[in-house]
Amino acid sequence: MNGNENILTAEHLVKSYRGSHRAVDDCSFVIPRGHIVGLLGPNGCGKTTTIKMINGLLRPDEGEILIDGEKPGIATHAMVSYMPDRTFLDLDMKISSAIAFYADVFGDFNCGKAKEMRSELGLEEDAKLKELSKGMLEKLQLLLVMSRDAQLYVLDEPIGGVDPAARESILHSILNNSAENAAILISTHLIAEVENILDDVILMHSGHVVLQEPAEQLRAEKGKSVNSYFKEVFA
Amino acid sequence: MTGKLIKHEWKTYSRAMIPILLFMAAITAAMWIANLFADEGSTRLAAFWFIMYSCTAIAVSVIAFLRPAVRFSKNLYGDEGYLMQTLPCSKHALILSKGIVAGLWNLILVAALLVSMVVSVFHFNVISNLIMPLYNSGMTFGDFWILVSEDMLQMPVGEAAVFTVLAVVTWMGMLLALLYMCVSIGQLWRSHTLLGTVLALLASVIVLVNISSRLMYNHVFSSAAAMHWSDVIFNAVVAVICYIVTELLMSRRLNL
Repeated sequence: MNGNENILTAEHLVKSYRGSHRAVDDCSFVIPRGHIVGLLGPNGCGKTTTIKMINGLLRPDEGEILIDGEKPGIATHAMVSYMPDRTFLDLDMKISSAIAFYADVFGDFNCGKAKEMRSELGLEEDAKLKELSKGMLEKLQLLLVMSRDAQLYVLDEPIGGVDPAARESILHSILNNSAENAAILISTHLIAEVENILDDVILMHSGHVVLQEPAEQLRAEKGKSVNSYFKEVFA
Repeated sequence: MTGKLIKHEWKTYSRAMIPILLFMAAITAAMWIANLFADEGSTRLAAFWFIMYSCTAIAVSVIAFLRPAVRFSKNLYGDEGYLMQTLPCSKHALILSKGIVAGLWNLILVAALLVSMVVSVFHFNVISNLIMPLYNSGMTFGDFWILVSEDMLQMPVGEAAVFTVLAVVTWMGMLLALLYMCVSIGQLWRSHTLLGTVLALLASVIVLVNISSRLMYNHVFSSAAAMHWSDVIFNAVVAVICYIVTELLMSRRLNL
């Protein structure tokens, strides 16, 4: 671990699709260690593209990402726990097999935490993933990701596909189960739902980072919630 | 890490393949019983089971060919790729784990298919008419292997044994590496992945057939054994090239 106060730095990121459409256009931001950072913006503004670059699933056309001093690759995969915005598990598995897989391949997987979360969330060990409802599947995926003692959790739309009642319990799980001193990056378009748990906000619009500030500071400056400010300026 | 990935890949592959093996065993047993009835003059049942068996054998062959490609595509370039491509391991580990398990299962399927053909088609009378004369003449399996090595392969027995193993391994490796390369090329076009894969496969086969036939016709081999060994070397080279292309595409042009 290097002594830098930021676990992640992204500088002048550019990513284009089909040559001309710039999904991410000269974005720079940092994620301080131990902070909960919201990557906020409407659908299609470049959040998921940015997150894919952080996790090495896309290579930026320009710019650089460093996670604890390393470029995205094998070393950063070992320190970043990533939850994408889709079902990433083999649905023919059982819950126990999915947990066993994670425990086997990730050295920082905490089996005790996983067991606790599993009984809190009411997930049966022998249940097949294809038999789970959408909400239960999301919870299982969250269990797997949050059971790692990672340095950085990257959660892409963790509450996007679940009903309003479940959103609060998911956010509660995220806060209670992350490793101590770990940073959390939550990407979402549901700004109102998450802004109260955020230390910092990164607002994106049309591929640009419009601002990055502590959430409290932004609310104090503008005299309104982050959600209201965003709607006013970018709607 | 490769070992762990192989372990989990083996479990997943077995879940799909064991039912297929059991089904093949059931059809083979039915075919064998039907052949007994055919001896007693009832041919309709034998004909029905022969058709069932043929369809099963074709289906198993198609599965053995397609399953590795489908699994590779789904697990590494589909939604499951969001997990697999972010594991703390190299692309080599991902590709090798898939290739080793698929290769082993393909060998098991081919062996099972051969055994089922012998069991179902060659029933007692045919076995006794074909095998017993050889047995009664005093020919052992060793004699039979010497016959194959020296007459067909034109190699000493030891060399023929090594050749056979390498020929199977390089052929299987070439087939899998080629499929993986074509899937990796196909994923470059997100909206036409299957079309891209099929076109890449067609183009690859055309190129390979052209190259291998030019090599065969333009090169004068010093012996039949040299010609056989050149096949092994060709397959090995193609396998390595396809593997390298697959790894490069996965590392630098991943398009999830």
